[in-house]
Amino acid sequence: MAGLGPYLVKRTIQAVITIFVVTSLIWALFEAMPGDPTDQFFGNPNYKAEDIANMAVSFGLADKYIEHLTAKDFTQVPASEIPNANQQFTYYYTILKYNTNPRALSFTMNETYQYGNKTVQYGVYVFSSSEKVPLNQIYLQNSSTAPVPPQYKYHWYVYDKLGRSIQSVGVLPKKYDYILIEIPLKNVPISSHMKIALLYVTDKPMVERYLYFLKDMFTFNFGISSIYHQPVSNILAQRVPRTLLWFGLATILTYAIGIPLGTYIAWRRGGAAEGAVIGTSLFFYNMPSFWLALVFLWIFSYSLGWTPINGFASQGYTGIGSTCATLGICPGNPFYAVVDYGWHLILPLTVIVLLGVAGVILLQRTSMLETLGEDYILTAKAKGLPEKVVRNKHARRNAELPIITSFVLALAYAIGGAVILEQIFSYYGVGYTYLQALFAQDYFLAGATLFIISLLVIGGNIIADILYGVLDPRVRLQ
Amino acid sequence: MAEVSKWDEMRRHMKRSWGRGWKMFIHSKYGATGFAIILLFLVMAIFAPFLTPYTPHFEAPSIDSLRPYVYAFNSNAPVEGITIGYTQLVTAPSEGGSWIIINHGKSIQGIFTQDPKRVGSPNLEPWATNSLRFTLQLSSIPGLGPQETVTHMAFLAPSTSDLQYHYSGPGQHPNWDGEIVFTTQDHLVIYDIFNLMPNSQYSRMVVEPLDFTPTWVEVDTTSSGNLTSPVVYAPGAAVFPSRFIAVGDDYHMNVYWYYYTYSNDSYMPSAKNCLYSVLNAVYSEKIIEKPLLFYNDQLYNQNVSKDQNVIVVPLQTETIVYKGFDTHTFPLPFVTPGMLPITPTPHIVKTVFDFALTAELGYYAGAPDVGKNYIFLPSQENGAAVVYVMKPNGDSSGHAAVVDDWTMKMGNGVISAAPSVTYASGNFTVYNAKYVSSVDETYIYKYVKGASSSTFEMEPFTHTSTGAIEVPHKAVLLNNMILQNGEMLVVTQEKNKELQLYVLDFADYLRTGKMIVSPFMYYDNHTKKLEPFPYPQGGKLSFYTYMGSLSGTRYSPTASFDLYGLYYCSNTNTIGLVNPKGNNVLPLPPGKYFSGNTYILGTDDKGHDIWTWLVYGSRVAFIVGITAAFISVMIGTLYGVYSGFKGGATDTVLMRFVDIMLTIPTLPILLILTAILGPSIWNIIMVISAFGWAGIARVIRAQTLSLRGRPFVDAARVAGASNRRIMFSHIFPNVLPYSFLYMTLGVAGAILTEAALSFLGLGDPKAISWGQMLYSIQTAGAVMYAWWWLLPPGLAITLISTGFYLIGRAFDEILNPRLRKR
Repeated sequence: MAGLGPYLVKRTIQAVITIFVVTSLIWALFEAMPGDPTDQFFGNPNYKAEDIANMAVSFGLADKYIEHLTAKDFTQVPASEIPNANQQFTYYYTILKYNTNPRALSFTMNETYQYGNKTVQYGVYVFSSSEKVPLNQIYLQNSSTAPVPPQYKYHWYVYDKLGRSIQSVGVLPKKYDYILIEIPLKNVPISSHMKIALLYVTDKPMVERYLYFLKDMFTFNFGISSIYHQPVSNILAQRVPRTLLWFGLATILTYAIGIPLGTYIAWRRGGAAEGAVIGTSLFFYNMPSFWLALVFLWIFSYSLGWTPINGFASQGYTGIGSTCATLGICPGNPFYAVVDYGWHLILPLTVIVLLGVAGVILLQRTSMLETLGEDYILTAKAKGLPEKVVRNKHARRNAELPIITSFVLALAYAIGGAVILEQIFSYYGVGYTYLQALFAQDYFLAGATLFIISLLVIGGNIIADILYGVLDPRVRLQ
Repeated sequence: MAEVSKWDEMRRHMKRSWGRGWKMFIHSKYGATGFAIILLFLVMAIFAPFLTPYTPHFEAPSIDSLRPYVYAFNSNAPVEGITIGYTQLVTAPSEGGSWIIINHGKSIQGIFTQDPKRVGSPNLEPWATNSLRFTLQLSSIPGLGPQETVTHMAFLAPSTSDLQYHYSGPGQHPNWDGEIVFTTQDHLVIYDIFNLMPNSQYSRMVVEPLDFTPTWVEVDTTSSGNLTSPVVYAPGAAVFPSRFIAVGDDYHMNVYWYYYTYSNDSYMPSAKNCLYSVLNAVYSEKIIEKPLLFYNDQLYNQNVSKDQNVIVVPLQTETIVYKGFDTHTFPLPFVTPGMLPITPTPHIVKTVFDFALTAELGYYAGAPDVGKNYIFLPSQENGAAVVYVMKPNGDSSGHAAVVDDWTMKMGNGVISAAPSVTYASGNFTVYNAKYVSSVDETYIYKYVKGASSSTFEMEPFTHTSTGAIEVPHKAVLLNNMILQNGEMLVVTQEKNKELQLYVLDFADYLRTGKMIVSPFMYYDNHTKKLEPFPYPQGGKLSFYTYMGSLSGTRYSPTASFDLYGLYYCSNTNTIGLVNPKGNNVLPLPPGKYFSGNTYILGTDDKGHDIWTWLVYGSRVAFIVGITAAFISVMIGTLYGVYSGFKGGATDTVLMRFVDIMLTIPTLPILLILTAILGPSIWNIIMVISAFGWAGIARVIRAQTLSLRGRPFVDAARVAGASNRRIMFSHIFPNVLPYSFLYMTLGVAGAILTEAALSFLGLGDPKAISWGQMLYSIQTAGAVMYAWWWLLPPGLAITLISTGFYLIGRAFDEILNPRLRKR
């Protein structure tokens, strides 16, 4: 007989591989998403382009380089050579060439300079191209909405906000990046004090990005959430337990109710109870969980007012709809925490248990029926063992095996389903966070949440596998 | 022996097992039920257009979804007449409202009304919420005889710019502003309502004797002033605070100029000194309609043609137009206390048109473009209804002139109501009501003149043969139409009967292409039903007028789109307010509605019929469910057969991959995938099938393993069959029943997944799917009450998935005999 040890090792290796594959899949998905986790920070005045670039660099998305440009890097170009240029202005340009495609290019420059008694405000335009383009083919677009004549294939982009990435004006930097400086006076030399700190960030090669991502995930270095502005790991540490509480309780309840019921109706095959239970179970089994949740909300929360409309707890809030206002158990009461969480959990729990129980009953019944058809049951009955013993010892124990597999799958589905149910009940758990992050394009948070959800599901799988191995020695032999 | 192709072989195999399988299937409790359910939905999907009364794009007409309200009270004293006092011209909308002024003969009662919605409950009468009210006893006015009673009333409303410019200091109140202008048997009285404000020490009125018994009184119409051009007499923007008042009987007309101005000016002359007679006319012919005094807010603008102001007197055979009243511009401020700063010196030019009017004339008084406040004169030419358009600027000699090219000719009949005119950025829209007595019908024509076009072009309503909206009986009033509101009330009268109100909903017409002409119904708060207007039932509608918005002012209807009408029923002595737009009550609960439509399952928040959507939704369910399940089953079967047949290391690797696929949390990954790919049914199908095949692959592989060792496979191999041939011709047909079993189960799963994705807002927004319906009920926030919208899609999803699941179970029983009943 094979020992448990090698089996455990085998299962663990498999789980590790699974985690690895899933993480890679997550990486691929987020890589395929348009944009980049750091994009969301660009609109935020609290973050400078440099900080964001640093963030990208620290998450292994990019490498950063800083360059300084001064007046001598710019060449004057006659206004007549630039289509649509203002002939009364003076123009200077420079071309930057990169051997790898930069993913962001940002520069900070002293915006104005004193020329005589005049304050000169620079106008800045940018243009990006994968090949070199002569200046007289690039149309000067004065504003982002001004039409570009059809004969011009290329046009300059107004670079109105200094200190932001070029991405913000609609061009992803390419191999050649042109910068055009416009001085709204005729024949004015460029300021000798002008300094441009040019920061350019180039994408790391894909392999490197991937390895960095794996490293970040496995070290729980999840980055900063762009919607909550706090580390993703803090947010998740707060929310994972809530989801586990809900689904842990729900799963336990589901099986505690489902197994005896399933056993009973399989044993009493053909009875009236069987028809009723099967009919109800089939109905609930194929019901969309979110719909049942909505119907329950409609009945119990809105119409009857028995259960709270949303939230996972009042947490000391005592206004309308809170635990304190509705049930009369207020902060200070020794049972407040239990009642508060419990009351908010009733409806979500009921929905999951109702839907889950249906599946468990059907499975337990099928599994029991299969076992009951075995010869050893007939033998047990034939030798005159009491019905209870045959049912509970001979039949049920063997029928439990598929149930344990289903337990695993149920867990996986339940946590996946949490995405929807948490949304409906505004229960701020993992699923709610995931959806919120996904819709707000908070990729750091969404990626990490998906990773955590996967970890939970795979973790559940390992536990179930181990249980299965312990209960059924045959499995270990395979 | 002819070669038997693998397909023949498969066909025979299928045929053999088909009959037996079907028999077992249909005898299974599960199979029969499931089959029945799926058949039901299949019928729904295929015959959707025949099963539904509407198309999915149908939206309930607003007549069904709007709940017009009526607010009314009964007057104790007999009502001789009603007029509206437009006041409250300052900018604070929460205080906005109008006076309803009721003539009780010996007294005048005024009640200030505000937008009932702002005040709160529509149960409350608007006047019940406001303490602003007055009663003016005629006996308190010196100079009037004891036998005199109030005969006719008008209200001299202050103008916007005037008030905005001058409200300051004590003795001012935005609500208590304006003058009641009324006639008695012998007098014209101008009475400042500030006198009536509680604790007011003010007493300002004019009692002007008349040498005839007046039968009408009129105060000029003016529009809101937004003067950006400088005026002569004031450095800033202001309107000279004066109005014209006309009073007359059948043959007389006296026109006065009245300087009403700011109440607390220390230079203020006495009221008597503010009234100036400017014209006394006597006619040999009878005046058939109340003359129109038309003045414009550009009156004093010296930069443009100033002479746009007219008095139109409709006589029996001709129409007289006076012009030249706007020559009284003098500098402010007053130089001598108690003296008028100006003496009006009109240079009157009289024009006689040789046609008679057949109804009151129409005009637009709000065009900001100078010279575009045209006047529309309804008349008859050789038995045909015509509307002449008069340019108030006049010709070079100062005479008013009709623009011949602009005349609208509508064929046999007579214009029976004043044309309703709207204007926006140079474009005129005119509605003319032509009455044809032989059929006792009114035809409402729409005419449009673009900013650059040279004629008024008829714009036909294409759903009618005449191009006009047909309204029963004779229209006597076209309620001003407000474009933003999109509705028009038409007051009609059957011969010698009470008035009847019809509502035309233009917004609905634009949406549906059909104008439902229906008697106006209002929503009774107590019975919760639509009732025929007027309230109370049995009331005889004898007076109706447009009242405008009660939250801003009449002069700025854009301030609120809740526009009111004022009505009076003579037999019940009821005075009330009508709010035709009312409340929109979408989604509609199931029932039969006023348009004649029945929504058996109600509507959603956009007015879509739920039953129609439910039926059409089955199409998406079938397409997504069957396609996604088919693709995933095909992938899973091929994968499983290959893996099982190959065996060895290939099998191990492939199966470990299946294990991984089975442990992946599917839904979160589907979410992100659909987010990347974009919302479309086909993307959803792709995504669902990409993650749904793993379980099937595992089962099929197990089956393949058992089949691989069977003698017939060995036989085939010995006969020299290639691996491919064994897989496709020998193993594949044998695992196909299992594939089919898993496909039916997969359909249920795919439908549920599609519903979940749609519900989260990742579905195809253009698709009519059950998930989409549930998504919209959540976004509309209707979960808490709209059970008719919440229950059907969920039940449909549950039923159809159950159906497919049951079919799967039945197959399962056929394939696994042990599950069958002992």
